Amino acid sequence: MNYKTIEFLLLQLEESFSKSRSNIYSEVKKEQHFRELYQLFKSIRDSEYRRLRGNELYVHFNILTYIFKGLEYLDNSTLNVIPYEIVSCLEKALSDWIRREDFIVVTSLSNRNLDFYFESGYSEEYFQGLNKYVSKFYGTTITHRLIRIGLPKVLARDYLSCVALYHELGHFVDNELNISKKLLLETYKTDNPRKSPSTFMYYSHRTEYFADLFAAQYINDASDSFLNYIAYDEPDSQTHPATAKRTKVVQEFLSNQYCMEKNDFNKVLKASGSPQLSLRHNSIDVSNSDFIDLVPQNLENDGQLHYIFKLGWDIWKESDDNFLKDFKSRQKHQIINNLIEKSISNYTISAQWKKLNDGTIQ
Amino acid sequence: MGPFSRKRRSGTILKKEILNLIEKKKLVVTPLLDKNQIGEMTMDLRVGTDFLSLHQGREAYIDSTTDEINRRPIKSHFTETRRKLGETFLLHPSQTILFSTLEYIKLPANIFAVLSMRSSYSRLGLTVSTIFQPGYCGCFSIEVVNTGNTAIKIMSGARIVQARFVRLKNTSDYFSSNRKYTCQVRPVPSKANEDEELIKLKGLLEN
Amino acid sequence: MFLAKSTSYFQTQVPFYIKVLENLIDNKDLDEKGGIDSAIFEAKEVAKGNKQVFSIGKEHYYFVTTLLTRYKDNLLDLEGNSFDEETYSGILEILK
Repeated sequence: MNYKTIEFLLLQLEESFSKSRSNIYSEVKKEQHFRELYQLFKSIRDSEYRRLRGNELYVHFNILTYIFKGLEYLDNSTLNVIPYEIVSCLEKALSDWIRREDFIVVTSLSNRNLDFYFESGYSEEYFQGLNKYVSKFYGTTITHRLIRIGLPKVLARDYLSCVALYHELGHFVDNELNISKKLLLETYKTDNPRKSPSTFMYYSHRTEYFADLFAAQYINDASDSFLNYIAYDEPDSQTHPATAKRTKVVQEFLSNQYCMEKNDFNKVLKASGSPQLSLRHNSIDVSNSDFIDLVPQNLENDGQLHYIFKLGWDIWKESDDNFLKDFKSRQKHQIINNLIEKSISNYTISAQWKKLNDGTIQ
Repeated sequence: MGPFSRKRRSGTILKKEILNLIEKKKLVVTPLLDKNQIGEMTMDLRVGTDFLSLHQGREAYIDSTTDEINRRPIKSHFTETRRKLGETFLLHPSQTILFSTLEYIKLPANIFAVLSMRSSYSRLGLTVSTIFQPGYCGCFSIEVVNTGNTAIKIMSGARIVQARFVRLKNTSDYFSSNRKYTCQVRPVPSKANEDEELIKLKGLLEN
Repeated sequence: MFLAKSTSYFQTQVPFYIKVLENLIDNKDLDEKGGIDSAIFEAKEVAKGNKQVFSIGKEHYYFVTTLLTRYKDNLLDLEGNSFDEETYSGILEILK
């Protein structure tokens, strides 16, 4: 690598910024993040980067890649495209695990169907290293970290499918708290999942079980319902446990039976001083739900907010026999999605309005 | 009917009865952020967060006569955009926009709603004309035209329209026919081209 | 990922650690000596069995676990909680 690589990246970024500068995010944190990324880019561009050598080149390649990634996600996180309602639910779940103020949930919309993912790579350790470096050499810092979640563009408003995002958020929390990594280190005495096929499989399966259990805390078995639609009867693979095993672990957790995976994770969480995996939702009985009257659910607390996805799935599964039976198939799906969306937005807007009137928002 | 029973009359219903219907969950309005939205004979409704604005694209006209896969759908003539409550939206002169009310409403089977602009906004040159049938459920999707020659900025969450609720003598069954706009929470472009009767009408030409 | 796992194991923080260690060895910048020394100390404590793997902090997680898996024998020989250039040089070698 030489300085031309850095120059090349800077030119690409120049182009990228020229497109992104007109974005309107409707969120102070995102606007601030954009300005900070631009400031960092400008400082590097205006520096004597042609004189960089050795490790400094890698550091700069790394920083510019970080800026690029940030822009990619910011571009896909304007109010017009981000699935705002589900992200607001994810942010509430997140606050059980980390200091929410330090993070921004951003999304990248994929053209590939079923392309749900969490993009790791920039840990707390990286972020601190980056900030110490850029503060020392460029007099600038980045305030927030991004939680980068990818989802299919066509499913951004499909709330029955978007339950997968709770699972993806679980990957973030796992990564952030190093849960599966610690289990790998303890069990196989390595920090490298790719050391052997068995370490890779062990580690990958831990991450999936953790993400499944994380999701189940909030949305019960809704994530499993979706999984069984798209990966019914899938056997074990290197990256994922068999669907039947995943379902079994979630069921053990939900029914409060002995669940080895949960116990292992909770041991790590306890030693790390983090919260335990536990049920964090409040159920709503389908027969008493407001959906039956074709109106949004009046949600009373965050636990019910998360459960709305489970309610939606339960109603969808029975929709050929329940109050939706006389609607066309497409309408059934739309009605459930619309009622979920409005239930969430009513809950968040009413809470904000109440805070405003209580004087807690200035 | 006994001498003390009250016979419900048809016509516009007033504040006390609106409150009573809401209390009994016969009329659903959610979220009702402020009870002051309910006036003596109307209820103020707020601009929601989603907008559709009509734009001129490569097609010379909107084809409301067909829903065939090889024709551009009506929704492609609209640009969808969102705002948070408190953010603003600009209406250009002669522009038609669609927005949903913030409130999700379910009307009883014997009450319909007539929507009009609040006078503060109609004085700016904004017009609206919509009726919602008894039994309707969903956010009201509203077409607004800026008939003036100056752009007007409106705020998401502002009380811009008012609904008058009118009772009928008899009830009607909203779902007795196929409903295209059930439980909508975002503005929906016209579905004029999905009218099943259009196919029948075309059939007249073939016979 | 829901179906196919994200496999981003690329250790993006390594160049920053290399820079810090190079500075410490050259006596150019000692600002981060405290942070690096406490991370080495934490690794040493885990290696000696005085601290649980599950309790490793997240601030220097990659650095600590790299030392544990690739520098363990040396950790067992370390004493105290402040380290010298020789230690930093040895660690720099494994990071490069």
